[in-house]
Amino acid sequence: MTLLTKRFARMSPAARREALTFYVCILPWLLGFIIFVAYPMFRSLYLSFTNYQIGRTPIWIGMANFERLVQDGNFWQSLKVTALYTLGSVPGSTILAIGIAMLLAQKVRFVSVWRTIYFLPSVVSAVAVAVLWSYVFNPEYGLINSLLALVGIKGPGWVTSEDWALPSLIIMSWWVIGGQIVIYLAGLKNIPNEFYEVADIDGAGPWTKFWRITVPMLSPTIFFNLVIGFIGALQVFEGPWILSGGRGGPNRATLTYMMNLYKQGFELGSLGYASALAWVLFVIIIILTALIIRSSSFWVYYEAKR
Amino acid sequence: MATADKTDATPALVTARASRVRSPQLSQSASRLIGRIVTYTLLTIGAIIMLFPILWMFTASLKPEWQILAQPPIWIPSEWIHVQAGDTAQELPLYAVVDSATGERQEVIRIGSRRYTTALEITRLTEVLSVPADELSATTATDVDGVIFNVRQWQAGDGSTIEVVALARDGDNLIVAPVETLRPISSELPLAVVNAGSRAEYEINGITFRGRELDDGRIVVPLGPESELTVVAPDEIAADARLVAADMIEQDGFAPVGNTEVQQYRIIDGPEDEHYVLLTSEAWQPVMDLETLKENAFVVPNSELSGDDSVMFSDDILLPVRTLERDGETQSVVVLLARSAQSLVIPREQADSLRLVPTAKLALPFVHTMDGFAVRYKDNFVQGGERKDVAIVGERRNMALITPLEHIARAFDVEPAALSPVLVPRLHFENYIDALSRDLGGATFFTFFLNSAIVVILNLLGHFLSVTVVAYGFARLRAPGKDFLFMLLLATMMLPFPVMLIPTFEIFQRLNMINTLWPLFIRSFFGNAFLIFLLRQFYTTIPVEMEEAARIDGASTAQVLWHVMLPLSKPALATIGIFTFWWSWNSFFEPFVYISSVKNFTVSLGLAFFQGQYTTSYHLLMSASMVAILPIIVIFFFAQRYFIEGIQLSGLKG
Repeated sequence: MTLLTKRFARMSPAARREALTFYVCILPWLLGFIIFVAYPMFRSLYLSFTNYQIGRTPIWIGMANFERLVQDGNFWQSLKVTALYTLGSVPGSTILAIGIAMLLAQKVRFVSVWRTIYFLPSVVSAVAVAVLWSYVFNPEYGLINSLLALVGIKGPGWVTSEDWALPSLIIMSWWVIGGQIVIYLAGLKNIPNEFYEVADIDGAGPWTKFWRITVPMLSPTIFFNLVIGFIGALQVFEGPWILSGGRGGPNRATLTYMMNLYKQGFELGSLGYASALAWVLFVIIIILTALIIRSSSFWVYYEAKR
Repeated sequence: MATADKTDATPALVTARASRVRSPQLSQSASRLIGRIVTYTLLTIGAIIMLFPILWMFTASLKPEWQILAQPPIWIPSEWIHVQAGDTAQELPLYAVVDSATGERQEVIRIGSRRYTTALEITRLTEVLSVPADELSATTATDVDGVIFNVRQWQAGDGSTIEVVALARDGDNLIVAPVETLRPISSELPLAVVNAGSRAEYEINGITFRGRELDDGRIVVPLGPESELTVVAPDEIAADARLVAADMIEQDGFAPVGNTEVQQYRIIDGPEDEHYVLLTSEAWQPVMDLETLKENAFVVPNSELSGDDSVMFSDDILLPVRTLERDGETQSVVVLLARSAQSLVIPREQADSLRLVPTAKLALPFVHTMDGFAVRYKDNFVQGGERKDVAIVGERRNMALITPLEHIARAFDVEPAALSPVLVPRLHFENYIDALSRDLGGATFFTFFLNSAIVVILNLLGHFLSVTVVAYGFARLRAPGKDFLFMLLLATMMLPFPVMLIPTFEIFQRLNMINTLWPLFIRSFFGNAFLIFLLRQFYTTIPVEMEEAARIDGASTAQVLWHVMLPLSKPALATIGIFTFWWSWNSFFEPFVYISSVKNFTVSLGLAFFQGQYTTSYHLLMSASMVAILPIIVIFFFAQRYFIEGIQLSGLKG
């Protein structure tokens, strides 16, 4: 702060005025940042060390929330469910999105029509998607099992079956990849065509071109999408909530981390414990992001800045 | 052709073509063609997967409820044609069946069912074998020249395999006979006919068989398997159907009709020779038009009612007609609902709209309270093409819908699977009215729409006021600490919200904003990191010269922003507007946390709540979903470019 005031003192009146205008301009955001981001972050860190029932005052209990968490079966179950969901949802949707984006990048006709179709599911709210898929997955009258029955296959119970409930959620997430497709398509368009032309001259096949040109050139985009995808998947809530009727069933098979957090905080009213859960999730996300960034030097190709 | 454009672009192939090296070029263009076909095929498959669920949602939203549950699915929303049963309120579903012999398609109604079993005329059997049970395979139902047997495989001593049918048990052995010796002396008989015979025993080689002696003297042993056939008749017989109390009829044997037999009934105390066929037997309920009831019915103390309790409105509608004495005048009234001290009555002459209706059509009624009487009523009850609210009065009663046997000239039995509903395509738009006008605990979907609209508009206002100004600061103005703050801004974009969730909840709790719409829009007045970043990127592409020209003319920062920057930023502002609309319309978690009473629900929250209430009423759920997604879909179609550009920007900042 003193550094800032010193720099202010050294400035010309015009520059000082400009700086002042800057701070006036960004004041709304700065206030919002302090009230709704910075303060809540520290506050929730504090709350995670307290026993804080909704409507009461927080009482400092040290590490008790974290000790409870380690022994909480729901915590481990939700962590397992979320990890499995993330591992199914993110790589699957990444592969599908890259695949579709590559097809669209083949100079196909009516690109905008195709893009509209593929983007449509992503425009719709997560709630509407889940409500729709609750019908698609219905074991007796749903779209999937009806189609399977037409070819003589008896489909599984999907969301009503303990084994299939989580795979169902993952399949549903693969349907909502419009945003990723658009981003990968833009990334593919940024790869200079000369690269492929040169490869053609050298007689490279499509496979070689894919691994030697497309993947390296696309890797920064993939990297970004993976980070965003992991952060999003770890916080999944709407789909499992609606498909399991808010129970996370059958037999906790779809109890995701956020569902557990919501239940602890807002159904059972343990805001302190829920804060601890939130911070654990935050730390997991930071570690995971850091790991992806660390690993990126091995597989993400950055063009030398020109 | 598109292939040609592509080949022209590659120098290698141009050379190849110039030097007229034929074969490699041909194979290359052939592989390109295959590549194109594969590309379009895969894209089409993908597009079908993307669109099919949405299409399925749309068609389901226009289907009647029974069609939702139909297996195999009926894809096109349709009306199932029903024929009215006499002048009753019952309508019988019409089926189509194709005559296997003539190929003629007929429209029929179901008039019963018949169970059959394969029966053996035991007296004509001469030879049986006794075989250890463990030498026999399990049974398989096998059709042998039109008769179905439970066939087992038996490995005979000479190594050959014989198909046999088990007839009886003898200790650990089963008494069997080869299926080919059984076929000429067996037939499929109605189970009712077999069971109607008297018990009889018959002995072969010292083994006793239990069977039934039929009316014609034959002794048969039922072997199974049993099968059920549906008895149908032409639909015109429905016109003669009439309603009688279920306890007024009794079974009276079987009667041959057409090429089948049907269970016949007679009316107790009725003429001996009048026979009927039972179409349905179920509970019926007296109802009357709710409007008539609201206008004319009133509550009286039971002490003012006199007259015989046993005088009824009609033979079928068992509502007592009593005499009301009041102020020296008497009037005849029908008692609609009675309690120990009071009754809800209606003058006899106003009671013409009383009629019986199958209880099944009155599921999920609403309640109208009238002078302390809870009158249940069914909304939008359809009868004779009219929709009315009907009040449920009196007691339900089991009624039988019967039709005279002599009017059924022709009846026959068919495999149930051979019947298909007679359908006429029709879009059931009334599902939408139904879903949107459902009372969900003090509010309907219209309320949710209003709430969502308020939230969206205030978020738009908030973002336009804050984001435009903050982005200008980051784009154009120099100040110490700016780079740090900009990094901070970018960092908040990646921050997971759960870590802020509980203290934010606490803040709104302290501000008494829980269970109001305020938490859903107030923060937009403080900007949004992504949108600030988006607009800042756009601002930096506007040439500084344009701004400087205005500055020289003496414009203030506010004037520059208003007169120079914003008019030039229309595409970016459109993107901001669309993203704001998109997020706040679709937002679920925050409304879910902050709002508890139904009247403050947003559309997404309302839809989730609706799904919880009507889990399997998919026709209504899909209608509600369609309406919930319609605004955003419409905007998407008209302003797709801004969605795509905004998304691309979010993806390329990494």
